[in-house]
Amino acid sequence: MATAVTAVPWLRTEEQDKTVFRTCPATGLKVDVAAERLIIANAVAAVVFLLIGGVYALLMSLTRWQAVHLLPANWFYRSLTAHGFDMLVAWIVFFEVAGLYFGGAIMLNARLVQPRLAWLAFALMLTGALMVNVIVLMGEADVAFTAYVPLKAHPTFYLGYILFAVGALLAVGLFFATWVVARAERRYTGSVPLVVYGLLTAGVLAVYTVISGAIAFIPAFFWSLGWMETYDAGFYRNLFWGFGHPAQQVNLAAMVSVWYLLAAITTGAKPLNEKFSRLAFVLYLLFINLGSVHHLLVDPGLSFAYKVTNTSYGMYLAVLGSLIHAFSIPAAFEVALRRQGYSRGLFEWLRKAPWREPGFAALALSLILFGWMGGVTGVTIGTEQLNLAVHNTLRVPGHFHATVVSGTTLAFMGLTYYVIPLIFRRELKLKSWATLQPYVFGGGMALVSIGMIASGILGAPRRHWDVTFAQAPFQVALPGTIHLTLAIFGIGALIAIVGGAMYLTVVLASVFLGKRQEASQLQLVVVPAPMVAGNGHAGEADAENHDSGPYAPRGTFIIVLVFLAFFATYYLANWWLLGRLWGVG
Amino acid sequence: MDVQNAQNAKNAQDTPNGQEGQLQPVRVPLGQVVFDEIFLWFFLSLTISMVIYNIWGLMDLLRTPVVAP
Ligand code: HEM
Ligand SMILES: [Cu+2]
Repeated sequence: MATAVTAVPWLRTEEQDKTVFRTCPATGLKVDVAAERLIIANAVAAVVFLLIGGVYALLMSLTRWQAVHLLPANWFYRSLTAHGFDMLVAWIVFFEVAGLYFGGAIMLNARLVQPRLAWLAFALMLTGALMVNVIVLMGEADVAFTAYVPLKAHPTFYLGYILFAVGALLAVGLFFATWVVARAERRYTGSVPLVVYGLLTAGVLAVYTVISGAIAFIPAFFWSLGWMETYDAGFYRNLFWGFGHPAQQVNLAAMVSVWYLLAAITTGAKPLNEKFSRLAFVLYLLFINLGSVHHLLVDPGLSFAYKVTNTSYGMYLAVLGSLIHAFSIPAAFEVALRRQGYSRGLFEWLRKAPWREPGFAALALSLILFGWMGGVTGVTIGTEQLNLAVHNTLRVPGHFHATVVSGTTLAFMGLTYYVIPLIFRRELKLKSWATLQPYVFGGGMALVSIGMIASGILGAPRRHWDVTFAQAPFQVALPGTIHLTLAIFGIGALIAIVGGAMYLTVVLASVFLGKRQEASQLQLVVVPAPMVAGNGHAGEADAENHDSGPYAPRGTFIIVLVFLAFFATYYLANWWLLGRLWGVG
Repeated sequence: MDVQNAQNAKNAQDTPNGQEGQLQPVRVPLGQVVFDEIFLWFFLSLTISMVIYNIWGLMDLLRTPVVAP
């Protein structure tokens, strides 16, 4: 095999390889130092944009909370645009690029190919993100991050988006190249670990996402420059949501990978069934992009067949993938905790779980809030008929603040606490804050989502500055209870922002003031008890049959049944509500 | 079934230290080989999304009658 390796110019043998590696004392992994620097740069950029986006979140929340109503209208829409971009695009994608380099190079003991191009990708993304922020702040792009044509922004806005997309595409390309080279150079053998498999899925989805983004924004750029007379609004929406929705599925695949990783780090959990988990990722690849049509359910010009095929028949196969993960991840840590001796009854493992370990708290809350609030509301409002009562109300941001914020963002926050000792090689400061932070942020966000969803059910529109419609030429009477639900949302927002600030404080304090040291163990607070049964040696194949016996995940099974009952109730309740909307006769 | 399963898990989890040992050829189960073909899934994913989401959607829009100004 070694001779085959030298014959190909872009492959290197061990002697030819000049890459500088260090060996991580906590994991035994070989760490490419160039990849490590890129991970740090991308993670820092991510956190900075989270900070900026968080400031806008505070201002906007204090405006939508009608009792406070802070900003004037133009600054509300400006903040909305910047918040959407900085959070959904900049924070998430920078963090994901860091994650891809971690999965592609470090988890496979491999070298990152072409670190110089990776720096170019970083520069492009950073330049693009700054351009968007500046032009929005200058008041030349109050179009929300979706920039629906015929709303027109300054060309700089579209160019910023395009540069960001090109940089991200380059980064994803380097991730795939790194993996292909790692395989060819035999840096690893067998299949990639499940976490890397999930990241490869995210990478595939990202390619479609980014190409769609470019196809949507390049004509918009020309149109804004005046080179193109018109740009059809329907076309733009189709193309834009080929970017906007799959971007969320990149987040989903990346988040699920992080869930598997956090479960392994904090409880020693191993995937129960590699085949099923991988199948679930493949289901995402094949079907999840079709869900994009749920953004277009009220669009004229699209046929009913198109809408229903995409959002029902296709989508449910992807939902099946999520259900597989939703069972297999808690089941995996249930089995791991039972094997540590917490096997009494149905739920001893749950009571004795490492709730003080930030990564576990983040994982558990992320799973619960994502699944029970984000997933359930998402499948419901993505149904053609139900969507008519939901579209453009606050229920929509209520849904996605449960998914991309309580789910993805919280999982990424949890992971950061481990990246600091392992990659930044700094001592984690303020550990007790880190322990509390997922609860504060998750608890606050739960209130935000509930408040938004309830306000939406009562009729509050999304992206709207003033629910009292004070200067409107017509009267709109929303029920008075809306002030209560908006207050729940507003108070939740303040709590969540405190949680976000705690995260930023822990991260910044550790990065700037933490002692420089090598990590000696994976866990930060709670070290898992050694496995009682079998040998808990990591990397040992687990041929144990989990269908019965003291280690079977019976608790998770019960939780899943309750979840399905809740899901069905919420779904049916929405049909009932729909039936009462317009009386007949 | 269970043996395959264990093999799956073993291959997947042994990778970090894969350079040592593992010299004797292992028969990789077909399912695992198919799962590992990421570029196959890549191709299918792109095709399904393009045809059912993009092309069908744009065709629907093109069929929409235009109102005379
Ligand atoms: C403390 C945390 C956060 C709070 C309190 C918050 C609050 C808000 C509020 C009040 C809106 C405006 C809703 C409307 O009027 O329609 C909004 C919109 C939005 N938020 Fe957040 N947010 C937070 C974090 C995040 C994060 C972390 C993300 C993404 C990862 C995110 C993504 C979005 C998006 C995509 C929109 C829609 C923008 C638009 O409609 O154009 N938010 N958020
Ligand atoms: Cu979507």
